[in-house]
Amino acid sequence: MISMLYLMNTKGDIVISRQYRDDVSASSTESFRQKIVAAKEASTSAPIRILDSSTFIFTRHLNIYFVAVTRSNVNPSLVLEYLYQKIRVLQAYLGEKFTEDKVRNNFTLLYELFDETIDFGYPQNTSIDVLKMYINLGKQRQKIAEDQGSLTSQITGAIDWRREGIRHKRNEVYIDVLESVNLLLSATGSVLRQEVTGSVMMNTKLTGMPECKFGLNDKLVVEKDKNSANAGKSGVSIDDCTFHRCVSLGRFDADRTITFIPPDGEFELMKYRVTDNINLPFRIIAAIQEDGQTRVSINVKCTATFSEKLFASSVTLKIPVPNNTAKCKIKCTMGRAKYVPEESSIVFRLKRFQGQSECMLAADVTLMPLVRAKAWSRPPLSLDFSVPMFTASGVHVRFLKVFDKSGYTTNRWVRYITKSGSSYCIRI
Amino acid sequence: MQYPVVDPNRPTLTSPAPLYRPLYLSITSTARGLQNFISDLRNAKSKEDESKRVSKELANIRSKFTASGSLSSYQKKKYVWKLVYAFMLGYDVDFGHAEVVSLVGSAKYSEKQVGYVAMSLLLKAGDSMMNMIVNSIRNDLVGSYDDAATSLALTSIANVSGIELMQALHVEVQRVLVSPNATPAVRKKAALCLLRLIRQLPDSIASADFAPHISNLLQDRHMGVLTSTMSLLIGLTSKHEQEYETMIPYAIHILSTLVLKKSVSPDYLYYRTPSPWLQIKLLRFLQYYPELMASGQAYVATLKQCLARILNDTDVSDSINKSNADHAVLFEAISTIVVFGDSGDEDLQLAAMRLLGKFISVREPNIRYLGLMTMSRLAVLHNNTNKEQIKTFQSVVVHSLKDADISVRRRALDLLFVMCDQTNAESIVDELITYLVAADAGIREQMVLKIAVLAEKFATSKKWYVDTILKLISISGDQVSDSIWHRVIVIVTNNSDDDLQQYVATTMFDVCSSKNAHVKAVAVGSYVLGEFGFLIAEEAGKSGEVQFQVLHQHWPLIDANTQGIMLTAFAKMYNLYEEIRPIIDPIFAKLKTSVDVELQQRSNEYRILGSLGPEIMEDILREMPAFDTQKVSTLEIALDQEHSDTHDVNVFKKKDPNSPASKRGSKTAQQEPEPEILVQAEPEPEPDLLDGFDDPPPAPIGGFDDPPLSKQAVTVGDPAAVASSFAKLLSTPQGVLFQNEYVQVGVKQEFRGSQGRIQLFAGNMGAESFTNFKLDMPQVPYLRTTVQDEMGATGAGCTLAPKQQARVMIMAEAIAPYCEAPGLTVTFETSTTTHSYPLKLPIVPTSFTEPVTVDKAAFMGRWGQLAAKESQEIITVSRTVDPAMMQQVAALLTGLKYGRCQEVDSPTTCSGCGTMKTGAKDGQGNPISVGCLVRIEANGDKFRVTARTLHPVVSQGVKETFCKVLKAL
Repeated sequence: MISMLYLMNTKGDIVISRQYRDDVSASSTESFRQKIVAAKEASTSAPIRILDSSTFIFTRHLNIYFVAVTRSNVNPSLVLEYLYQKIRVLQAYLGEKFTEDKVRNNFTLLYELFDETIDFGYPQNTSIDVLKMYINLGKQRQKIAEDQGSLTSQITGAIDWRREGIRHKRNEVYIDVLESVNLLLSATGSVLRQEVTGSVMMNTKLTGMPECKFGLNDKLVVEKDKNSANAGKSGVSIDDCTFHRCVSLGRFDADRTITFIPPDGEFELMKYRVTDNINLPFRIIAAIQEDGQTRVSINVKCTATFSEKLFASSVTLKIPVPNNTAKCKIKCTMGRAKYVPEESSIVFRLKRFQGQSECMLAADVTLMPLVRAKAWSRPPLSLDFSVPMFTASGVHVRFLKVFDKSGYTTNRWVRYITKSGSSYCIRI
Repeated sequence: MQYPVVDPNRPTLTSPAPLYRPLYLSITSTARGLQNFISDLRNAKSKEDESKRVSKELANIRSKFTASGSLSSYQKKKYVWKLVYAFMLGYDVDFGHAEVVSLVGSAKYSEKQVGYVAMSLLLKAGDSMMNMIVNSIRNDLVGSYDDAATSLALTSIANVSGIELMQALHVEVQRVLVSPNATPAVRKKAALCLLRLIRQLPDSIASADFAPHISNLLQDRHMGVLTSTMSLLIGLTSKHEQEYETMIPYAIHILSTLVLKKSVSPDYLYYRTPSPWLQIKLLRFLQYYPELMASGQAYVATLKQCLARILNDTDVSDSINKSNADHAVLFEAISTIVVFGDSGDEDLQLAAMRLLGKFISVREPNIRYLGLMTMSRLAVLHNNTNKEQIKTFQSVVVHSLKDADISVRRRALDLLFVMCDQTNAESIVDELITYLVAADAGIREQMVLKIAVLAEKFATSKKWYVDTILKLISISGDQVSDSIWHRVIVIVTNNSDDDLQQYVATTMFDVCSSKNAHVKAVAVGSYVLGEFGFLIAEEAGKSGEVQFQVLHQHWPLIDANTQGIMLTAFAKMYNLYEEIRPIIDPIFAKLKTSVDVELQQRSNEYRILGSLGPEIMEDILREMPAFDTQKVSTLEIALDQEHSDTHDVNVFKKKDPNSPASKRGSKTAQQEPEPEILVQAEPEPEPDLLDGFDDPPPAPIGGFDDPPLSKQAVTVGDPAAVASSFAKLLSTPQGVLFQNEYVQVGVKQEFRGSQGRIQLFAGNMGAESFTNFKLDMPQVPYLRTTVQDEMGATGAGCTLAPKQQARVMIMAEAIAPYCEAPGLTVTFETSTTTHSYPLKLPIVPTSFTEPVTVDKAAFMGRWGQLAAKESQEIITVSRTVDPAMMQQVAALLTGLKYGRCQEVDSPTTCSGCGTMKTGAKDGQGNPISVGCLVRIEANGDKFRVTARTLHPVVSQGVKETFCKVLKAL
């Protein structure tokens, strides 16, 4: 299990540390400092390193490394997941972009959080809402003094994610369907890999202990009730999905209905993956031709395939150019493009891209002749975008029903966003 | 580690002459851009940041270098420095070389300096840019009166030092060295540059002509020039000793000036010692002439005087630097005396010996180390009284084995090893074994090997030898290699007449009785008890059954190899002692299903052996016959491998009898005759199919059975004639490949698609028959060949009578694109000479080509597509190209099986199209063929040959073929 946890800045100083077990010494951090941080390896190193028989598992938030040290055979994904959750918790307390100074100014709070989220090296509760109930240093105390007694039974109870007696003036539910598209196209345009990973984020502000029922246009469900109003519509075949632990899996297994008592506030209801019948939001045609040793001519056409009522924002197209590029003459119909030598590519940015429209870019690249001629590796072209109110998988929310004893009415809001995943690439 | 007191190879520093300007002065302090760049990189937080900064800067430089306006001198320098800095950090810098070239050619010193620095870093010897730069360098070397420029040129030649550069410039470097106008600083550099050069091209200097120049240089009054010249001279002498013998008087004269008169300019006094580096170099040079003292020349007396002075006047002084310098000279002097040996002066030898004896017992580890090393050289080189004297120091040397410093311990071990002989072997080996217990792992392996060799070489009795090896196994079994204990078994097996076998059997029985015997001891025990156990079976408490139990108790703890040996021992016991058969049977039965295949096989075979009948079993399991003792001990081989060294100029390495290279030549220098029991060490438990896991026998060492090279060797005669007949054969189906007064090689060839049939006719044209006639065709990966050969000329060789002809038929199939024609070497011997003619078979890519006819559009389309895979060359022919010659060219094109494409041709061009067929298959199983386009353009007396094919290698091959053919027109 995790023997020690510490935060280290990019200079290699320890910002804050907490030792949970005594099988590692405080000096073991030194080897991490020397071999990873000082050697400027942290950005290229694997996230798990074994140095001097201690295992260091680390991740980075801005300029702070979150490092967990262990000597036992831990489940690395557990530790990494804990580190991510830890960052999320700290973001909730200190702000999205908390810095080293912020951490230094809130030592006592940090130590409390360190103690509360891990016991003897075993990760415990990292739910922000629950933590906020009793760790609220420096903030005005909520009037929950009377709840103190019920706290223990609540976090150890059957429904530990929601306490009783929550009241909201207006009962509202916000649903965000976030999708990211990963794509790899060959130079001839055939699809080598495509995949959509989606997650349904929910923000609930509901009174009492309501039971919710949630429905997507999942193919299995849609085709099952042919007789209903949905007959004739085809659903989306979801390859696999995982749920927040509030969802009762028994019901899902039995009839694929998603029923749950939601935690209060923000949480991720489910994650899913779709690989079939994906609507790619952009079509790109790239003609990149090397003319002899010293010239490359580039013509790229990018078409938005989604409805013209929608628009994509912050579209960035990276067109690779050879390493020995000397000059680029770029013409584009809209947006801005320039040569960025650090990435050896032409970066083409569009703030707003209307659906069904298209843009063109033509570039004339002059190369520096090399002493020892080397063939250009022609790395793939990559695209970054985000399209609101569009799902590449075709998933949409069919219903969300809220049942509560008091029978109040609920306002429900749904939002869709499709983004490019970690790789949306086209080979050239 | 070794502690060189003063490194004689270290380049000497000169007094700061105004000639040299510090590097930083040439980068003006206002070069903000460079400073910022460097500090940005230093402050980079991560590798990524750094490489981003570098690629940004490189992009900036690229755009600056390609910009139309010319750069100012300052900018050019600044950017090239940046390139150099980025290159030094490990980034790929493969442009900007044109700027470097222009900087080198510049007239200003500051620019030239940047240019040379960048050149020696950024350019490699083989780069095409090098050709452009050679002229600038040549100008700086000979045309310039600026010493600084000449020095820069010399330094960078030495630093880049590619063969091409050296070949292009070595004449100039020599000229600079001997030029009467050169200043000392330039001369020094020229000498060192030339040294670098002759290490790469040993034959670039005609030694006989060059010696007078060296003697001139040795009369120079400048110490720096002398030191550099001596470095050069040592380099030259190590290759050609005789040519430089005339330099000896000069060297001795300089030595006497330094040692006896101590007259040297104050600049060259190093802690009051006159130029120790030069002294050492002089002494080292003299070591190349070991017979010098006996020559009776006048200078011998001077040399003696010098050596005596060095020996007598060296004292330990307070200053460590002075002491180091003096001792360095002293040790070199002693080495010199050692080399002179018996031909030298006896007084000097005695004095040297006395000093060495003193040195190996002083406290200073450096001196002790050198003392031990020199002494072991002494012991190795000479075979008389010296050795006796060295023996008197035995106790001191043994004491050094316990030194705190491992390098001293190693030297002591070496010395003990070489000073060992019959008289003191036992005591030395005993000492070594006692020390082995305490020795650390670093030195153990070497010790074990050496003890084993010594014990074998100087064994007074075989029993002692066996005991010694057993002790080795018990003390340090892990370091005892298989070959060591294999030797024991060979010796025991081969000595059947005395009671050695019985003695060893008893000893091994005792050793194996202990529960914690080492696995190697168990291996020896198993073999010995299996073979000779019967000799002690009658003794009380050592019956066959007890022997079996003694061995079998180790079974679970030993590795599979040893288990195999033990199993064989069991089989032998099974044969001998009837009473234990019921115990052994279940063991064999159980191992029938062992995971180890070897054990499985052995147990099965031994089990069945029992059922074949007693006669057969007894016959098979009889005692092993004596081993063949004609091969060289594997121990010696192992020892030889430890003495590999790459140093080029050390006279001792040449003469060290332990080094494999000189093993044969130096036998006279070694006192001991080859030990009689130098035999091969491979115990083979069974000579038949049961032998499966022993090491393969070592390959015989080269050099022992080479035939004497008495015959004169003749190689190929006229390369031009060979090239022209090769070229003719490229476009004709038959012809003569090679011909002289002895031999004629004819070729008849036929190609279809990817396959070809080539007939070779090799005829004896002389009056004498050839022995050992061979046609050697090295296998090439791109051709699949089958050879039909009735006389065996392609194999072991045959005899060819006068007027007789050897015929060989080769079926060849191209299986990959290639450009190089396969080789054919014709070798044979007549009574007086050995002939060897390296030739090329006319099997080139165009041989496998089939003509293709295309129209203009298709040709031009393909031509454009294949632009990237072009290979081009311009050749000059003997006469101006006229239409008649173009006719010939066109005929050639069809002769080489290309379809002409006349539509695209003008009167001075000729284009063709073909496809090279190969037998290789692609993914779908279709044969791969390579489309080839060729264009020959004539201009005046030049042809430009351009080949564009689907494969760059083929392009080159096609181009070369056409060039060869056109040259032969």
